[in-house]
Amino acid sequence: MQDKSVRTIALCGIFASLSIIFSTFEALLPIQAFIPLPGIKLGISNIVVLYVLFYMGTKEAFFVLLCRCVVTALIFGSLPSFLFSVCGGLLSLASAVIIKKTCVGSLSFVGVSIIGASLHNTGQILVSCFMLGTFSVFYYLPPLLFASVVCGGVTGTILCLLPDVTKKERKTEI
Amino acid sequence: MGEGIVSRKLKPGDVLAVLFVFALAILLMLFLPSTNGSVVKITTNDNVYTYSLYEDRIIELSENGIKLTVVIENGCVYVSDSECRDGICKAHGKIKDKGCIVCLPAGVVIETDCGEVDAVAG
Repeated sequence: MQDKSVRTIALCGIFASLSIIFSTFEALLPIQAFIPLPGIKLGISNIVVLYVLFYMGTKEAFFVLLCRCVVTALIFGSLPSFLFSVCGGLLSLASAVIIKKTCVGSLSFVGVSIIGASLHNTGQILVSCFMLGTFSVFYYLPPLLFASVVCGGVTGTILCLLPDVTKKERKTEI
Repeated sequence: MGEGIVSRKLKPGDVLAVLFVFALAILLMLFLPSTNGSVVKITTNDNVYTYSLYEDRIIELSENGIKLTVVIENGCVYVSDSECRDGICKAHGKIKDKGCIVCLPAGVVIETDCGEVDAVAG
């Protein structure tokens, strides 16, 4: 048991740092050349969160998500951007947890990613609605939802291609 | 595979998910009135004023000792009068759906719609 928890902690650390690296990396991707919407992101850091959720567990996924939000906010962002990413991330992770608990058999990673991406955007719009005190931000939601189908489709396809590395037992030879 | 593992192959639920998101987006587009949403946001040094683009009005501002007259008329915004020596804001003309008029000496930014989007992108 001891060994398993150590392994879990180590994997969580690796995935958290991977998620942070991905969110740094995706800021460099010229995704706006393909989808000309301000602030659009592919969401490859969410690949890691979903991967951890489905191959490891809910607690681990929450840990990775919060780690990413806190660290990226400390590196790049401000309080608003932290609130945006936390609310969007928690909402999309919550949807994925519900899917995992209830109807996991009827969806693939693509569907989970698309629902997650659209809820991520909805969460961000809700936060900005509260912060700016205006409902007019909802005008930005329909284009974001269309974009989240595209982005969620891409990230979901990547998730389908990834093998499960978390359960693999490695022989350590010293 | 064990329990709680999502399929790697596409399932009917995926199509449903896509359709659901599309339906939501289209419903939102239909239910959000296209006119009331257009707002004029005027940011001064210490205040943000929001007006509807579709209610004609004249706004008098006095910032940094510079008097500005902003006119909202027929869904357009423009600066009709400014004491500023540059007159760039006046020369900018009328803006409609998405645009910005900036008067740097007075520290006034007049935006239509685009301000919200930028804040979301932050």
